[in-house]
Amino acid sequence: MSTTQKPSNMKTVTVEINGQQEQMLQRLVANDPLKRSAEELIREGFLEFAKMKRLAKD
Amino acid sequence: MGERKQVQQYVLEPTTGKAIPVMRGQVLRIKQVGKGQCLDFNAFNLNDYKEFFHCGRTRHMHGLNPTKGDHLWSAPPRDRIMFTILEDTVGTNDVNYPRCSAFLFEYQFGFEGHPAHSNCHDILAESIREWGLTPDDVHDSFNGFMHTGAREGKLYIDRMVAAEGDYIELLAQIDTLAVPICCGADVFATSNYELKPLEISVFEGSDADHAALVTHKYNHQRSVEEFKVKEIKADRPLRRDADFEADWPWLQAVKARHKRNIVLDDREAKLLEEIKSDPEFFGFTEAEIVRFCFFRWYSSKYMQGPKQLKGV
Repeated sequence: MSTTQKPSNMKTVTVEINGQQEQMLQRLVANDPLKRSAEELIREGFLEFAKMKRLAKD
Repeated sequence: MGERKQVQQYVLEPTTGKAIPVMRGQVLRIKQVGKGQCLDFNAFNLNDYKEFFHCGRTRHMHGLNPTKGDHLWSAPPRDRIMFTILEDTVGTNDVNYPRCSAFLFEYQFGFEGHPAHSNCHDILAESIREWGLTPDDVHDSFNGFMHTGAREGKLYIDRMVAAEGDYIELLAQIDTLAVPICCGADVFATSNYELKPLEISVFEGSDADHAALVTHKYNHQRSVEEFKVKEIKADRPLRRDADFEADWPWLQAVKARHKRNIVLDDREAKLLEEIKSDPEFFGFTEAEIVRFCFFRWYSSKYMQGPKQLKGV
């Protein structure tokens, strides 16, 4: 897993998951009412949980 | 719960028990006839004694003190609901403490003589002997009416709060051998230092009771037909199978690696920086943090059953 910094202040984080986790992710994508991609769902999950953690600290 | 027909009734004298068949759809009531007595309870599948009640799975599903609406589960890999708690007039049941044993009273209180101090393991063992089962078949109990909790990572036993007339009703979801006993501990606070009887009744369930019967079966609630070894060992020593070859069918998927590139904008990247300073993520790479957060989010949003998330 790695991180690369893009010039336009965008950052790409490469997340590694195993085959079982990939299956779960694909099920999530298949059932997502908003038709988001796997990457969008991971990003969404990261942001939602990170925000909850930050709020819990405040 | 409508009209029920009583099938059996016993009064268990203090420090005794009784193994009773309770069939799917029947209701087992355990009632206080004194000032509060702790119940210890074991249960077996009547048609396959190797399936039995499991405190650990029950605790996983319903927490430390299961009560009305919760279920008593069998051990993995069966993982089936054996009973549903239809009524609980007290709300203090325990699935944390193991059954007390003769050893425990010797070790903790010096009862080294014979006969042993009354104890739940031996009472359960004697009760199931009627059905050809051995002391090794006793398992940790559903401790009915036992008032317990956890504080700062340690379990504690509080005073018995059940009173005369209080009761628990259990709906059998499969055909069972139910084993209610009166706990033998009189030097713990479990029964307020006085051993008392319990009244045990079995009823034919009413239509209202039967509405709570579970019909759904999950693919991975395993039965003996799916076991690679189906026979129960009949001798005691263990011997290695020279032809044994391990089979781990999930290993290929576990070893597989899939990479997903997650693009974060400036604001999101700053949030990642902020989260990195959280002591919970000490030693994590950024990618490990994103993965961790995603799976925690997934669990809180989509996982079925109990949610035991810390730190949110």
